[in-house]
Amino acid sequence: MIWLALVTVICIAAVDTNSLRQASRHEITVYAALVVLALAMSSLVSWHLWSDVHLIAPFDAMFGSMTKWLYEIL
Amino acid sequence: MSKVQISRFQIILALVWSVLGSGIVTAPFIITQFVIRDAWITLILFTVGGLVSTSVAALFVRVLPNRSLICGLIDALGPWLGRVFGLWILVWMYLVSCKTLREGTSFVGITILPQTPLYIIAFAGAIACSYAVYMGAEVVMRNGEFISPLALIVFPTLFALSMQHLDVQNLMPVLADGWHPVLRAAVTPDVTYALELLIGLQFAHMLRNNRTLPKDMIIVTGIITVLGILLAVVTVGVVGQSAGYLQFPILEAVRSIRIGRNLERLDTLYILGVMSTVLIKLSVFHYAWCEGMKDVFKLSSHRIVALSGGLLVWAGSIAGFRSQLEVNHFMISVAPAYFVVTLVGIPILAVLVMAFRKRAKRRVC
Repeated sequence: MIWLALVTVICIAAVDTNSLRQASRHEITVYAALVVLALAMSSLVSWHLWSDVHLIAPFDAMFGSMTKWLYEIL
Repeated sequence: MSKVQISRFQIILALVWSVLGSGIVTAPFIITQFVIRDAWITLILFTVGGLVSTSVAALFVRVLPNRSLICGLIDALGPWLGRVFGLWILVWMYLVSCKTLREGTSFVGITILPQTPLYIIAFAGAIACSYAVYMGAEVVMRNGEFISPLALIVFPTLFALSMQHLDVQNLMPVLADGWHPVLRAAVTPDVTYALELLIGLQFAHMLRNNRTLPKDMIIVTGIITVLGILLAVVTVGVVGQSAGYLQFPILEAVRSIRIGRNLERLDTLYILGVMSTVLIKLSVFHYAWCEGMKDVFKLSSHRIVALSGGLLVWAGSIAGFRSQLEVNHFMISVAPAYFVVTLVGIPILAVLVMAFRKRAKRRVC
């Protein structure tokens, strides 16, 4: 998955070349942050680290008990 | 650059497919975990969730006219606090996109491409949607317009044909176990999916008259309620109690169709239809996310994040939801409260603050 992600990053950078040339610094920062996050998630899957990392856990912790309460009152 | 404009017809179709797109994949499984015979009653209650969404939208477009959801938050709550809440909404849109792509990927993987790695299937879906979003709102909305006539032919035909195996006894007795299982089964479709209609607020500024959005949402609620009830009656009537053991009960109802000796496996048409609608939903949510990113981070165009954001959705759909079980767990145990807080709490807060500010300004004048 990480290889596919890397190839795609190169391809979309090629497609976005014109936009990125005209982009301001903070736009490039946002773009780079998204790409880095995507690569980090792809590497989690590729290197089998994803079984130890539960990305949805914070939402589960915040809203799991509220939803459980909702089911209980019904 | 000319102002992007979409028609009422386009927003209605986009909202219908945005709810049905993945709802048709996951909601039947979730409902049948609580109730089978009375599944159709849970879908009557969709009107309640739809009307709550419509009320929130009506308040929002009244107090914050001609603004998208995120623009409205920034205007009402100020540049800093508004952006913090805007980011919260962006995370919600991103999670829904990831969940939708994961649902579509699992569906395609289980039904027609069992030997293909899931990340390849997800990649194909993410690239298609990102390209549609990159090309703009018109392309995203035209996808919905293109698929609707095909769906109007294929879906009624399939369900009319599957009715030959319908046994009304599978739906009887009505409410034998009381209202509790029905109400619990209704939480996901009638809270979570119904609140997803509020994605329409992100497109409100593109409508010629955004005051019509609540009316359009009522029409969408009616369409989804009728379709949902029909789907539930046919599916439970055909599949019966075994629906409780199936990941995709509607697919089984379609698979039961046989015409003569040779014509069978019409489920391929159903799978194609579901894939199309899932991709429309994904495009709508991804476009809304890109527009939101533009407003929160002051980008010059949504195009800057369309492809890189699509890549992030692809990676998040696999890394965030490790299996279909996790998607089901998220939809049953997390999403109802999360969606209520995000889609009712935050817009209502913005409406209250804006109304208070307007009143305070009038007093000063």
